[in-house]
Amino acid sequence: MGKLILIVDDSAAVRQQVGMALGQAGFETVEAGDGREGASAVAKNPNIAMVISDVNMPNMNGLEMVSEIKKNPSNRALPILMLTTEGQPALIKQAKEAGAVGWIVKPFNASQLVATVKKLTA
Amino acid sequence: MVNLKRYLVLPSEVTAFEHNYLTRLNKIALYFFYAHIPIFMLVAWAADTGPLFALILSIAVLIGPTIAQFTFQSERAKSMVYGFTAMAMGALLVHFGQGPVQIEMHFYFFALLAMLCMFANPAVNLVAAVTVAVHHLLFWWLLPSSVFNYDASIWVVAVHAAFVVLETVAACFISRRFFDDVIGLEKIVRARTREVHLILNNIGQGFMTVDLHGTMSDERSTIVSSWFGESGDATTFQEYVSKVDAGVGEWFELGLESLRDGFLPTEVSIDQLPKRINLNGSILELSYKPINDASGALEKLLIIISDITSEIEREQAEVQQKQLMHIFENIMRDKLGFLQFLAEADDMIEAVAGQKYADLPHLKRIIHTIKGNAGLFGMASIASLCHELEDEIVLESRAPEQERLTTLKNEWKTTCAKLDHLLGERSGENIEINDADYKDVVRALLNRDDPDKIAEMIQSWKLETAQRRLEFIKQQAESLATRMGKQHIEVKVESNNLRLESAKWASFWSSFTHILRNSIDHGIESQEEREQMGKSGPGSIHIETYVDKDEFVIAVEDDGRGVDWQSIADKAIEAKLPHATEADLVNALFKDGISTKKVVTLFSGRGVGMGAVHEECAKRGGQIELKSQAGKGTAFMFRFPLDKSIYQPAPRLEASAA
Repeated sequence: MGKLILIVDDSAAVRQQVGMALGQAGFETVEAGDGREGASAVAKNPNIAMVISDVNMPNMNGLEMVSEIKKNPSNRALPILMLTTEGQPALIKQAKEAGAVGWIVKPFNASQLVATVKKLTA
Repeated sequence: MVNLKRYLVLPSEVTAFEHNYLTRLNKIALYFFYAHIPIFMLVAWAADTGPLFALILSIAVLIGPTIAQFTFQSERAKSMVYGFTAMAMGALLVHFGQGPVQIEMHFYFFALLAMLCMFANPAVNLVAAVTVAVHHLLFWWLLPSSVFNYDASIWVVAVHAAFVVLETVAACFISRRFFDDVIGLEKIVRARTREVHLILNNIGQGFMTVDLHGTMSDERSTIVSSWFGESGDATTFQEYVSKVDAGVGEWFELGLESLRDGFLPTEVSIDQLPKRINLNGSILELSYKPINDASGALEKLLIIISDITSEIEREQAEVQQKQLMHIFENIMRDKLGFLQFLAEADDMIEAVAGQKYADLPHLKRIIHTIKGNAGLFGMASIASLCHELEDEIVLESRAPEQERLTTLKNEWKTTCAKLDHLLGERSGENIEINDADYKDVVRALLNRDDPDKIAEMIQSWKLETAQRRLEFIKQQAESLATRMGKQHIEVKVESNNLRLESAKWASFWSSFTHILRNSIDHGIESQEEREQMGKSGPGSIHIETYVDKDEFVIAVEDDGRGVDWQSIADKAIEAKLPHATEADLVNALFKDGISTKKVVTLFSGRGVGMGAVHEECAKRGGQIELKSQAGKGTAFMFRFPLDKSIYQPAPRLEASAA
């Protein structure tokens, strides 16, 4: 069974795109529609091997979610990759300071995303 | 002969390296020759040729080179003086070494001749050879005891000379190679560097390398500073580029950080680095090549900066020209339809750019309609801009930035401006009548029919013939099928001679194209599929307008695979819409966001079009009926209350006769 990846994005279309790309590469995916759902999914499911998250989301944005997840020391090693649109370098910096491992600009290249997820979950 | 001279005489340029080398070597040579004096005195004492005389003579010989050493400017000239001095010292040794070992003392000439190669100058070897030859001949003749310890004849001198010539040839060769390959290496490197620079600085691309902290190497194409200005205090690329675009600098810094972290695959991190810089109207493209160290670890990045402004301008010009051709074809085909499209699209674009839309789905719907119609009329650039905007709305779930909407408006205005001369005056109102209309009126006049009825007839001419509209839709459908890569589709239309008020019906027809698109893209099967289903001939679409009692009906029917109700039901469930009855599903089908198509193309699949049709229909108080039979086809009927905007001619005599 493939590793479990959590996809957090308020756009169902993006979740579907990411899910399809990862699914074809043999990963299992779960989805969350905003930061709050994402953080609680991580809290509930210890099998999640990696989180891919949008930055701008309603309720709880990606930055807050990263901080929330990283509050728990057992999540310190959990890689969180930000998927974002160009034009907000300051947010990326904050996300990295909060504990995100890196970022990829949307619209993303599926094979690059898969390569990244493979490397981060290896 | 010329070649020989070129080989023996060094090129005039003296590099810094050669100068330093010769300065040192000449100094050593002087010390070396002064060190001979005590040796010669010792030899003279042993051979009983007078040590004091040896001292005086040696010093006398060394006066010349000493003066040369301190007065000559050219190090090469000093070297040549040492070529002469070496042979003079050889002669002194042979002279003071008179006695049984005098012949052996001649070895020293050959040793010195070889040592002179250190000067890396064939001229030095030649000076020495000539010196020793002249000396031997002269002394053999004038003072034989200084050269030979026996009564040697001329052929002995000739044997000595032969050995000198042999050694000199080889020595010149070695000196020259030593000069070219070692002493002149700097010159070679410089020449190559100059060539490389010549290439680098003349290809319109800028190159530079940076390390993983962005620190730039000194070597970089001069064109870079013509774009970004002198680098000044900036030592890193991010500082440098920030002078022209701070955002690019920030992204670059972030990208480097990602590379240094090494968490993401290198090519992924590199792909996140900024790719474009807009510079006072120029567009510069940045691309990056990783440079690895010996162990294969990423060490540096080669940054290649290209000015792609003209390339992009050319592409845009080409696209625009192609687009104009397409638009022109469409105008030729149906000027009226095209004018209507322009008027509608103009309104829609104004609404979008002026933010006059109700909510996000509404905005998306408007953009989608513009995209569809612009595509149909060959306005590829508008269609692709709308496609991008639509993507953005889907991805971001918010309205695109005003700037992007303004770009759409500007592109639209530019395109329209180019069209004006093709169209003449856009608002010209011509009345179109066909032969039948004309005959009807003439007949009514001759029959002295009711003048009100005749007036109504003539007034109806202001209305657009439905036939013309349907013919146009037929062309749209056929060209759409071609552009979507489908096989030929047979489109049959029947207007029943109705006329419609174009202003009232324009936006409905405009949304109507979604029905066609759905039919062509989703409904009608591929040729193979049709054959398997036992359907003969190409797929067909039948479109008809007619009046049924007090209703105006537009009916569309295709003979495709029918609606995939299961798929609609699934989507309805996903969108949390009612899905129990067929009516529920029909409703769901006309809701935005429901599409059974998996791939979103420029033509259809976003599930927006049907919503637009529904909206246009509802606006006119109309209702939609849908009949679909799996494998047999789909039929839509749009029913509208009859009103003044629809004119139905009286049944014609010819028609009843036929």
